[in-house]
Amino acid sequence: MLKFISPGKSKDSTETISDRIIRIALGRRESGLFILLAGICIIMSILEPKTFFTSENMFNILRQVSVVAIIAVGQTFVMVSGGIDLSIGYNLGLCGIVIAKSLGAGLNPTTSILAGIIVSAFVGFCNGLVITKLRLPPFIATLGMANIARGIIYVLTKGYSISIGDPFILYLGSGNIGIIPAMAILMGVIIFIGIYQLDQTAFGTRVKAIGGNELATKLSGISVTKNKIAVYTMAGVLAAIGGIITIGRQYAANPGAGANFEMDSIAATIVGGTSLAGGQGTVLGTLLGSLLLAVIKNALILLSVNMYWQTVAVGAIIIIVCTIDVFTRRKK
Amino acid sequence: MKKSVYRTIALLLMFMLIFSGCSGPSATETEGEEGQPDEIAEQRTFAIVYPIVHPFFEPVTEEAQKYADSIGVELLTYAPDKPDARQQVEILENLIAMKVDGIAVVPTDSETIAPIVNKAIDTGIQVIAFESDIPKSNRAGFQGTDNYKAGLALGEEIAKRLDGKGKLIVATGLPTQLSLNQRLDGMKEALESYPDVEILDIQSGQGDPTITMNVIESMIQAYSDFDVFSGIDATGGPMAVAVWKAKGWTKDDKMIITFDNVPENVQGVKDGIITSLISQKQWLWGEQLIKDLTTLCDGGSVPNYVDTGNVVIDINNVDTYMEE
Repeated sequence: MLKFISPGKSKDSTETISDRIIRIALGRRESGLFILLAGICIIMSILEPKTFFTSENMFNILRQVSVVAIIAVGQTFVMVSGGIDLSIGYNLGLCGIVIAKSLGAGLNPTTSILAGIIVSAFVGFCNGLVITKLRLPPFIATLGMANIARGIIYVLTKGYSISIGDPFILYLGSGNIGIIPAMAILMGVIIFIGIYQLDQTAFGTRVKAIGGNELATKLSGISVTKNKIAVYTMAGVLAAIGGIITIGRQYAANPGAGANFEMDSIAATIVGGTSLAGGQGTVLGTLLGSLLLAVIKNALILLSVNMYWQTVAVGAIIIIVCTIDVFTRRKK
Repeated sequence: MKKSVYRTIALLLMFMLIFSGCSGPSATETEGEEGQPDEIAEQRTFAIVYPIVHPFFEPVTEEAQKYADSIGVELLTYAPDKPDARQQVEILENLIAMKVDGIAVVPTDSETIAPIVNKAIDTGIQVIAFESDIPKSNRAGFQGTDNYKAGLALGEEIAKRLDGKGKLIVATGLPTQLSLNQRLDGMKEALESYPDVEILDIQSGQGDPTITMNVIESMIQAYSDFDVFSGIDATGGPMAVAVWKAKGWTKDDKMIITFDNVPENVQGVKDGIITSLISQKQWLWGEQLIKDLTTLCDGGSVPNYVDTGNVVIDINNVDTYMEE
């Protein structure tokens, strides 16, 4: 956990390393989310001692959060750049259908997976192109693209699911590495790369700059077009990875599999502290936001909360967390 | 050169957006043939409106299309791209504007859809409901499964397989869908006669595969001593099969007794994962819908309510149940 924390510069040369780490950690927004998450876990461990804090349930939560967290990394980059991607869910579904159709057509698994990734990356690339070249608002462009992806899914499937039998895809979605779900490890790797890319590379700095002040970034000589297209393409590739895991998890490419993922990814990203206005946000925050929502949904079921009240509870928690965030930022 | 290529691709995409997303109807046309312009004036046009694109309804479309072709009726089929009553209302509004001759509809939300159904009838369009009724409308007739009775059948099947004693977890679909609520009521009513069968929890997967899967996993975690999982909608069974496969379970470990004969469920029965299914007889509906609409357009009448019944499918009749 601590190794993810950005080192920063110490203001006090006499400060010890551990003090410095604690000071920086407590000063970060993510620490508030982490404390909230830990608090819910502690309360749940008391209320449901036999079911919540068991390895099986922890792996359940990891399985349930993995796909959302992976695509939310892409959504984080998009939102930090000042955009939004409403096509991410159906792009995920489209990738799964393309892979299933390719496998059904006799292509080998590697080619089929590549075909799915290329299609999803192309959808993301097109989003970037329409947004930068035609100057359509990201909301409209990606909403249109979501409809295109959804339509193609139905044209290809007529609503039918397609069974998946490829062992590698099933392993990614349903297998374990040791005792840990393979998809959770893949999520960890992607989160780590995402944190590094956004916080430590020139690309990440450019993405933040574009979201913070696009005009100033452009005037400073940075290609906004190239970077935005790269961001949306990256979101498409991450949607594809989510799609591969989803078909492996469900043992089938389901035409409805991508529905609601765009809203889940946006909710996780916003709860994680990414600003809707762009320029601010962290992948670590997004991971914590995804985990918080997944743990809450899991907890509500373990507590046998009536299904009608669960939606109310999740919505209320999103509003409460974001309100606290707004007040904290204003105070700062 | 590079710029012009970008612009060309961008323009092409813009046209795609305009035609598919921004200005297109919020519905997915899954079937239907375009009639010749000079034939449309004479040809009757019927529409079937589903609550969502789903393989469950494919046999209905196939049978209806076959019969419509044989009598020279143009058939349009529509479904909202997600279970959304507002989208279904918009589809019906468009069909009223198109002045179709008859509509057969499965309501996503019977209360919401009733006023627009009545409006269609007032403009002279014949409307019948199937699969799920619209009691507060003036629809001419209903055919489909009596979902309450189907729920009773599910409850009896669960009790039979448990020998009258055991624990049950349940996943349903959209909480607004009348047919699902009727099934749940029927199941609970049947199980009241078996005091040793306990319903541990009922959760909603919202008709969404991923949510349904998460809900099933969490319920299994919360109630590890359950004996039977039951899905009330057509999504519960396939997602339970995926969970069972991931856990390496068969019907001998924990039972799945669920609704609907979608391909994944039928395969689940064959693979020894699903114990039994309660299925509607939707393969009977398609032809009858077109016959009923034709009768109504000819000035005749159709029965107010037809229960097409249900069938229990297990390993013994999985290949022959449609003939029963």
